[in-house]
Amino acid sequence: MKTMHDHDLDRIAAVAEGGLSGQDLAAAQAEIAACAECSRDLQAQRTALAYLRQSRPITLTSIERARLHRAVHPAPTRSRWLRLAPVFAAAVALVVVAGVLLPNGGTTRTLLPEGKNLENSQELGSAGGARTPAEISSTTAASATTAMPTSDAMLSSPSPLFAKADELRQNPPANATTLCHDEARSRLDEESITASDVDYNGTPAVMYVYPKTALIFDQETCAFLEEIPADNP
Amino acid sequence: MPSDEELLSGFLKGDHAAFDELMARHEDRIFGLCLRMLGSRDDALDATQDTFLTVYRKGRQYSGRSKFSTWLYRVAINTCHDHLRKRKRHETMPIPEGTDPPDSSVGDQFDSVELRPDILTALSSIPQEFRSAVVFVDIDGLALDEVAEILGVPIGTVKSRTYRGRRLLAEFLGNFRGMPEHQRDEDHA
Repeated sequence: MKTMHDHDLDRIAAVAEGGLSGQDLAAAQAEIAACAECSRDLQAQRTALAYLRQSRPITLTSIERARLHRAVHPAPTRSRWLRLAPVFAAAVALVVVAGVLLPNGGTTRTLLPEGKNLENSQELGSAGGARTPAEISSTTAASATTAMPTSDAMLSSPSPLFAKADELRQNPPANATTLCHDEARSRLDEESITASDVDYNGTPAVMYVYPKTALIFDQETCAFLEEIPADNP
Repeated sequence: MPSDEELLSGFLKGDHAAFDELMARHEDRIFGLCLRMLGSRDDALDATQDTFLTVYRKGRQYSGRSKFSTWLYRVAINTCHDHLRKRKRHETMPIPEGTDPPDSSVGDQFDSVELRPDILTALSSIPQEFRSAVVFVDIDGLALDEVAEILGVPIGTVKSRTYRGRRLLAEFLGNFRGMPEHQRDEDHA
């Protein structure tokens, strides 16, 4: 013999939730009262509901919220060249200044990313005129999403980091650091080849090396500092 | 005030402030869901982080057929299930059939706050399928059809899971005093 309990759990739940009223409620209560199992079930539903409804809203603490925002802060989606625009602007300014200070194509030394030295600074920027993306890409790949390095340091800074990334690609260390790993992973879907502590303009940093790029993070806060493409120069 | 869907659309067009606003609107609720599912604030924070990273990376997969919040909840609950699977601490238990319902006098015993078990502990005592239904329906107060959409199951299944989840929860509360049930029954006899 089927009892109400076998096929009317909805009704028991509705009574427990307070979803019935008037004659419907009275009828359901009468049916439930006639079924011992239904009565026990109704009591269980009420006990659980009363308990669950006392649950308070949960909020993040300020520290947790800061951690979350730091970890999920949107990665840069602007084009690499757009992000590097301030650096290019500074580089062009450097060339202009050099042109002024060293008339007649005077000589200055500027270390290029790949370690080449140009004797004539005007070669960097077509005598201070407008530079094409190709010219820019062949001379400057530094990015500075945080503090802007000084001009010569800026132009020379990519070189050791690029070389370091290349070195790590070829000879990954056995015990790579995992600091900032989640952050690094969030930037790229692919797994990194390896990671290593590096010096970034005097700041302790960690570099994650991927097949086609390398990412640098502040060692203390895991804040994203710079991306160095593998095809940089 | 822009809707969630408008914010997502703005974010997909490059407006990062729109993403920040989406996060600000939902992060507490998602964290609360994850905490109730996972039982630990650290794990919940990780899952919340993963949820929003998924939105960040895969926002284009949102089809617009459901509310953004429904989609977000689905991402979050799937992330929680992934976390649970990975740590294998709360493996899905077989649905206990024919479990004796709790003593009907149990409810009164928990009127005292001191006697109440921590709700996270209580929730962790029930299988995750039931837990998610109970959290969505009874704590977050979502409509059954929305929960069905989030969990990808029929409404009837949501009802059944909620019902059985409550029953197991009540049973847990009934046993919470640490006294074997047969002994407690004897005491009441």
